[in-house]
Amino acid sequence: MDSITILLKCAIASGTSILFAAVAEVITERSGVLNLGLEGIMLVGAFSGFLVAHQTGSLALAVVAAFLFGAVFGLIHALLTVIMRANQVVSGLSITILGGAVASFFGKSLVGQTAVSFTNFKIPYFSEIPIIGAFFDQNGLVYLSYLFVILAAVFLFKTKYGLYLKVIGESPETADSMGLSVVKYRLFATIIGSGFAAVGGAYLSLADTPSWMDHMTGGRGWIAIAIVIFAAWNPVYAAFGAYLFGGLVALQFRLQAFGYDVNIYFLKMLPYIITLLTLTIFSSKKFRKIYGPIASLGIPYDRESK
Amino acid sequence: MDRKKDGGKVMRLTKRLHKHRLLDLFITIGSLVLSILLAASIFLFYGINPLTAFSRMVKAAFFEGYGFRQTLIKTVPLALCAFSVIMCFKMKLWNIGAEGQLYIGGLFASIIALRVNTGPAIITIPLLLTAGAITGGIWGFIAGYLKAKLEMNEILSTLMLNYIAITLVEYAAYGPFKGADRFPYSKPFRSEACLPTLFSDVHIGIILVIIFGVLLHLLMEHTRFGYKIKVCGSSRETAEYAGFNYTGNIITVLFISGALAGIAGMIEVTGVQHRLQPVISSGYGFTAILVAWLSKQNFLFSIVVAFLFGGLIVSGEELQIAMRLPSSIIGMFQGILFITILGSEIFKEYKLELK
Repeated sequence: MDSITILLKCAIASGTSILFAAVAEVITERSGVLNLGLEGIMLVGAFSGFLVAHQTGSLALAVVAAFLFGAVFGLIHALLTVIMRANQVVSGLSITILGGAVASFFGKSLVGQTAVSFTNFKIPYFSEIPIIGAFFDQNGLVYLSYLFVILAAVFLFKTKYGLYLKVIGESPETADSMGLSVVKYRLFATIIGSGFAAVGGAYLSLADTPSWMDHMTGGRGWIAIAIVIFAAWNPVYAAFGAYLFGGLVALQFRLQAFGYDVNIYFLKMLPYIITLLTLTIFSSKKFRKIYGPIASLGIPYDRESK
Repeated sequence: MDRKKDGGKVMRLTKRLHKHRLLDLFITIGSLVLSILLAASIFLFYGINPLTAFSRMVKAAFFEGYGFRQTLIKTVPLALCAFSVIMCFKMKLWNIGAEGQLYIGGLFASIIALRVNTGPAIITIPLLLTAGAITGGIWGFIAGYLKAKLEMNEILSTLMLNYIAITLVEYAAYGPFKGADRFPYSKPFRSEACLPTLFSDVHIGIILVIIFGVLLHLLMEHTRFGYKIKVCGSSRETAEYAGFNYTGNIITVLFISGALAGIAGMIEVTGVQHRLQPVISSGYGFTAILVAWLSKQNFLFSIVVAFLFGGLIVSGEELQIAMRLPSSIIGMFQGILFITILGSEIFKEYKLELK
């Protein structure tokens, strides 16, 4: 394999956890709900996935458990913000604090333990193609993430329900007068989104660095939220954004491995600097005309106040 | 409006026509009781008598010399960061970056304390305070500038700036300022660069907090500047119609916010740690967002809330030492508390009715 293919392969592998979270957040935000709890929810997913893998030895059960635990935290956020119309920023931050603490509290005995983890399997013939082959020499969870991106894109852009979800995000009043249940769609989008974000967390503890550590997400949840913006709420662009960041992480290790004298602290802050710079470019008026934000994002819907 | 079918009747939320202060109080107490019950269930899960645990927590945080002093010390960064968040709230901006601004203020105060001989404490301390305020302010200014000129979401910019600030401090503590014993912290500050103490290990930070609280309250409630900021916060159109510089005020407000958090950082390094180390704050900037929100944008009230949260952190440390519970229990309590309070808010404005 040539070095570009290797780099791409590593970029995909280390970008997948952010991919799950970012694409999940695209679905949630499209409904008009901002979920700033991603970082905490990913930690819950990383912890619960690892716990179940450690106890049962089943990776499938581990991923399902991560999804369910994440969905429970999504349910809390949805109940607070959609039903009880609480402030979405405060609720999201509370979820991040609670999720991180729950994972750290119950995960204490798991530190240093081992569990089954995902291993790579090559897809015959496809993995031999130069460059593109990088996509086909990955583990099962990465293949699942491809499916997730495709399903999310098809749901949003090709189905009736996806269209309804977008209408709710852009104009809940219109959706309401069409007879759509704003509450149901927002609950659905928040719960499902949180479930998949948690799978992104589980990817870290089951595939990326198979182990459980406190705060092992290291800010990936926040990067995912930023990616959603410059991906213009499009799941496919969000996936590319995630791979870009995966590439940065992969590059860090490459450069060090090749003995380049690059300051590790500089490399560590690079993803955040690049996120900031990318957001700067995408916030400019020129881009804003093309990529408008979701109109009702962050605003609770109250039928009577209209 | 959401409806739940309930035996033919429909449960629905209707807006209350009048605000009842007493009812608001009962609702808040109710949500506190709920969160205490939830916390109690965590103790039961660990086979600990919740009553013993709670009495120990309260005693450790407020009624024992050492614990009470720690509570006072922890009130300082929480209150200053809460001021920082409230300042932004006044203009309907979210400063999620108090943590990073605190780190930057602490970093530059440390650099000066370590590298420049600035003479006696009477000159050094105000100088370090100013350095912390200006550098923290610059960190806030970046987010303000991006918001004002490019309409960049300040939640995201302040978040990213947090990570950059924390990594810069890590670099400084592991790199150029690493002490002679090769541990990742600097040599101790000279005594002139350490914040004076009031009594025992309680430094004068708590006095500064009260002074700043009163000044900010006066600034926002009794000056033209405060009025302008509040008008800008209520409506951009109104503000611009009145000829106020809306975008300029965004930058000013974020600079002041950053400066307040930067002062918190300066106080932590000169008053508590007395050296530069990789961890200056244990998430004060994030907890402060919740403190600010709970104190309903009131600078003076936020000092009380910060004091209570300081107590919560100290009592969590007590649980860790005395009952061998993981430190993350404080985060769980904070999370539970906020979720129950957030959930209760709606009942202050709406009532449940069966129709």
